[in-house]
Amino acid sequence: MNGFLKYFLFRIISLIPTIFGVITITFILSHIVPGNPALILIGPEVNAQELKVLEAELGLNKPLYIQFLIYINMLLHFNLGYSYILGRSVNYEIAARFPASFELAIASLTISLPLAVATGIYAAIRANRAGDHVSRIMSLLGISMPVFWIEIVMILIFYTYLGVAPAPYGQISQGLIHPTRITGMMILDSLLSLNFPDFADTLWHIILPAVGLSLAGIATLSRVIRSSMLDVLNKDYMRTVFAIGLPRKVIMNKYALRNALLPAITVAAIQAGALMSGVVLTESVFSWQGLGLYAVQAIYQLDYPSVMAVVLISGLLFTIFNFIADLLYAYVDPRVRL
Amino acid sequence: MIRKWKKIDTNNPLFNTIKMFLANPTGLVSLAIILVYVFLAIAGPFMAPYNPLALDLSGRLLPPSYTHIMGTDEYGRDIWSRILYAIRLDMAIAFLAVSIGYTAGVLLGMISGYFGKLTDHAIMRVMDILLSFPSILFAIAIAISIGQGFWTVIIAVSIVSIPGFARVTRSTVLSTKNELYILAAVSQGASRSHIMFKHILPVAITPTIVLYALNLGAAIIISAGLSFLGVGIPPPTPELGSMITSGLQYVVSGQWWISIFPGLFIVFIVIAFNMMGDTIREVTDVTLRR
Repeated sequence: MNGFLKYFLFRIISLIPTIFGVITITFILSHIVPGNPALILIGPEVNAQELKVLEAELGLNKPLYIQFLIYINMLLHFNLGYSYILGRSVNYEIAARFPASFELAIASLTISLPLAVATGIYAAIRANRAGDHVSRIMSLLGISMPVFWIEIVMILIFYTYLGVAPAPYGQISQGLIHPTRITGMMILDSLLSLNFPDFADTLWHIILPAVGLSLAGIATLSRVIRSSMLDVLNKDYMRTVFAIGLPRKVIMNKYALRNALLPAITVAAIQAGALMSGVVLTESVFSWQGLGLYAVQAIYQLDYPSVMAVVLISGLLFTIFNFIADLLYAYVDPRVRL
Repeated sequence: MIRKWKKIDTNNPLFNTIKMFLANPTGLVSLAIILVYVFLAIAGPFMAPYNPLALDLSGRLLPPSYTHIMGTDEYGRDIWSRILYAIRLDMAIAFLAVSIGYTAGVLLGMISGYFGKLTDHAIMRVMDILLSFPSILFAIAIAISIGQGFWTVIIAVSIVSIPGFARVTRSTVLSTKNELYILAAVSQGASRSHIMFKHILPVAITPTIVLYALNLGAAIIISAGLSFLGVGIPPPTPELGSMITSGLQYVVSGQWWISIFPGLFIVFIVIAFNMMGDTIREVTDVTLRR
């Protein structure tokens, strides 16, 4: 375990410059805004005096490096800024909307991980036969379709034509009273407050967006699992266990699967971190009241602090997921720690 | 002066690679699709039956018919004509953006791999940080800070593609720079730039070509996504992503053609780029040949 601890510390320390870099880039991007942000806020017909006051309030009259230090100081106090457009702190908005995105992401991973493992292994076992070719074509399609487009196709089929899916407007049907807010995640909340009509309704609403969001992930991950499973199946020790005559089930579960899933861990974690891109698009399609829709609405209103907060959070989430991937990998594969 | 044509050397590796690519059905199909798109991008505006911007409020939301083979949108504009213009725009964005990202990424990767030490660390950390942003969100951040438009999309998409190229190039440079033939060149007094561009670059290029093809597909998807969210090419310019957006609200009432057709055109070209990338990898990677 000592080796793992050492590796853990090493990775923690190397996390710091990356996080600092993510913050710096977000800062740079939010400060090359064309035109005067203060002017955008209060509109063109304003006197110079008022403009000066607002500039001072926003800290725009200070040199850039001071503004950067103020920004860092703010972040160290977990303060993501103030949205003048909404008249609320960005923290408040994020806290209100993060659970919805989180729930969607979890639902999507719940669908994509088992399916990717199952199809990947199936394709490897049936390598270069019909099943494998079908899975190859499906995954080619999966990575080639824009997520927002396939979701529109799904809405068309399952809502417009078949009528089995709910209308693509948010997490819950219009007439229903929202469950008591405990975690902010509607499915969990309705379950915790034993509100079963809401539970069924929210579950019904999450299916289409979660499936749409998971398709690209399934496509990539199942190919990774297929190739790593093939690698393992061609190893000498696999020939040995086959020769010994162990039952096929034991061979697959105990010898092949474990080793084959190793490389998939990294890819899965990176994809979980990158899910935010898909979340932004999916939420716009389904009017899902999460971080993504918040960011997109903020774009239209030129609400820079809000957009940058979401960008920063997704950058940090991605970094953290990468970190977790490395740790998991080191934990299951002792060679990495050396 | 009589010009002598050089006879094609059938042992030339490039010739062999191209031959193997064309002998591969996947490669051939992908090439055919891409050529069709290139043709549409060039000839599209001359083929378009209607003006892509012409409003016709009496002919709104018409389903596909003989007069409008892909129907009309909410302003009565002919969707097929708009798609023809949009293909030109989207192909231009993809090729320009990925080529810029490619040049920058390969150069950075070569510098990083060849010089090593501090230069390497500095460049690769910056690449790691760029990789830490999910692509669409990073592109949104760039788009909102420098404003909407053609060049914004190109800058956003190209920056997103730089780290991949840099990483792949760096790793090939690292594995080739200590090869015997490089040491031989050094011992003969070859300059750094000579070694980098004449001896290392040709070796480092092969794996990056695969990535180039795959990135073209990704670029189309990202730029369509940006326009879908309203931070890419501003309307009314025809762009595949924003055409999908404009049909979004009509899908629930069954007017499917507005979103579906532009999306299909995205799917086919991205499939072709992905197939092409895979085939190039297959025919250039010696370890894959069994």
